[in-house]
Amino acid sequence: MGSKRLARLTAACALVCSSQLVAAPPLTAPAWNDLTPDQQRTLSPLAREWRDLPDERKRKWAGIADRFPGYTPEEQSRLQRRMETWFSLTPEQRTVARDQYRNLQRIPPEQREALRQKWITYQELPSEEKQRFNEAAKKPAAKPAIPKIGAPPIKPLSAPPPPRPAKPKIIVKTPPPAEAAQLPAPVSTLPAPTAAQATSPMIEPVIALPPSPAKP
Amino acid sequence: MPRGRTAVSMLLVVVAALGVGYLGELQRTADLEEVDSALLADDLPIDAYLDSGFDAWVQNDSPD
Repeated sequence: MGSKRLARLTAACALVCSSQLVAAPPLTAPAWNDLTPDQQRTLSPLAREWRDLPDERKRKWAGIADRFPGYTPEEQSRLQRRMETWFSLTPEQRTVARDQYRNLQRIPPEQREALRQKWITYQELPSEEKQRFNEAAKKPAAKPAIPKIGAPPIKPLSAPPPPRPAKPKIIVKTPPPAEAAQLPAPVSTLPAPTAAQATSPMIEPVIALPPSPAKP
Repeated sequence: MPRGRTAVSMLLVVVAALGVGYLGELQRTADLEEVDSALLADDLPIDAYLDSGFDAWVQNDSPD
């Protein structure tokens, strides 16, 4: 009785699993000759490098080739033209590009349409100006990770004897950099309200963590 | 009988774990496909997405 039920259950599971695995694409990477003629045509810019591509990227490119017909002719031509450039980027650069792409996708559609024009305008900016934006873009990436998430837990762990300075150990929150750097001058960081600001919003978490030596 | 049951359960767990890993991998590849193909076909050149200053500039420029 029980064994029959068990056997039936096992068979059912095996059936479900096998049907899912059959329905899903294989995890093996396709060789160039395994690609369909359409895929080969789409991926022709990568034909020479195909053999050396890691499996994961082969699968990805094969998938891109499958999506290819869904694009307009203009987009298709752009996609193919850029394949080699994309291929030549480092993994880090590709990650940066993807992140930026996702960021810029958050812009409202009506403004996104103007991005092309903005890119042209941006390119015409003096190189110093562009450099400023570049640096501003780098800072916030490092800062928020420290003050928002890192600061509270890291302080107690890494700082062994926090002597609790009389002056607030203001974690030089110069990080409103993106905005501060971008806007010419007005929005000054936190120069004037140092004492006041420091005591309330920033220091609290820092000081509160390594409180007093209330150890048993 | 209980031994057989345990073996089958373990087998199912292993199969399930493999299935989850496999589906996760598929999902990851599908995400990359989606972003990469959209990015490459996009109106903006790749350079625009490599220049982090551009994003900062756009974000600064768009508040209005």
